[in-house]
Amino acid sequence: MYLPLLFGKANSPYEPGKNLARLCIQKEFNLLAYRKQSFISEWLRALCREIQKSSQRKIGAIGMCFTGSFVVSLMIDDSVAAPVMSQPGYLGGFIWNKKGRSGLGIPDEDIEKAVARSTAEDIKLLGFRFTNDIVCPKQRFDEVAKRFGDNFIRFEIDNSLFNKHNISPAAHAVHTIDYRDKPGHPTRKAYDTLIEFLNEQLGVVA
Amino acid sequence: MEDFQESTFEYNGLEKTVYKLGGDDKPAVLLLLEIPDASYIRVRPALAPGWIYSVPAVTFWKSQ
Repeated sequence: MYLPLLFGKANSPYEPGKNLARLCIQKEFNLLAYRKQSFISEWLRALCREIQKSSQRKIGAIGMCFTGSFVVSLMIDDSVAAPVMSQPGYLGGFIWNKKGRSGLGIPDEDIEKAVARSTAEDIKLLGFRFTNDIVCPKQRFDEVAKRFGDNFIRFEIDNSLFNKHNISPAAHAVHTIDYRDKPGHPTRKAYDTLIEFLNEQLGVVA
Repeated sequence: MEDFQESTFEYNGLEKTVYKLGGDDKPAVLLLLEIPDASYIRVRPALAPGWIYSVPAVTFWKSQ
C-alpha cells in the first residue's frame, strides 16, 4: 500500500480548510481550471510506473473525493489494473449546472484514453457513492456509466431520509468517515466489494 | 508500525513524500486520500498508527 502525501505537511495540525485552500492554488493540481491537465496526474502515473517496476506487480489505485477522478487519468497508464473511485468530487462540481454535476474535472482527452484502454483490455472501473451525496451527484455516475458502459461497476448506498440503516443523509465518505465496520452494513459491503475487486483484478489469492 | 516506510519520489522536478505500508510481498495499491482526511491521516502515521490502519483498505493489506 502506497500513500503519496499530496497536500499539506506531515505532523502538522488537522486543518482541512487550510489544505483545501492550498490545494486550490498549487499549480500542479490545476483544480480551478476546469478540465485542464494537472501535473499531479502525470506525477502519479510516473509513481505507478515506478511502483510497478520495483514490485513487478499490477497496480491498484483508489481515489477518494477530490482525488476520486484522478484514477481515471491513471487508467491511461499500463501499470494500473484496478482503478477505484470513491465519491469523486471536484471544485467545479459545486457549480450546480449540468456540466458541474456530471463532470469529473479532468480533461476529456484523459477520459477518452481511459475508455479506450478499458475497452481494449477489459479494465473495470469500480465506483462508490451515497445516493444523497451532493458532492458526488448521481449525474456524475450516469456520465461515467455512459462513457465506460459495462466496464463501470457502480456501487451506490441508499442514504435517503429514513433509510433502513439510518445512514446520515449528509454521508459522503464511503470508506473513511462514514464507514461502519458492522456485518451487513452497506459500507461494510462496499468494503468487501472493494477487496474482492482488488483481489480479482490484481490476481491476488484471498 | 514496523512495516511503515517513508521516502520521496521525484518526477520532472516535482518531489513529494510517499508512505509505504507492508512489505514487497503485499499487493501494490496506490491510495489517494480525500482532502479532509488527508491532512489528518498524513499527520498521524508516525505518531498515531492506529488511525491510519482504521482506513479499511489499509487494514486489509496489513492483515494479509
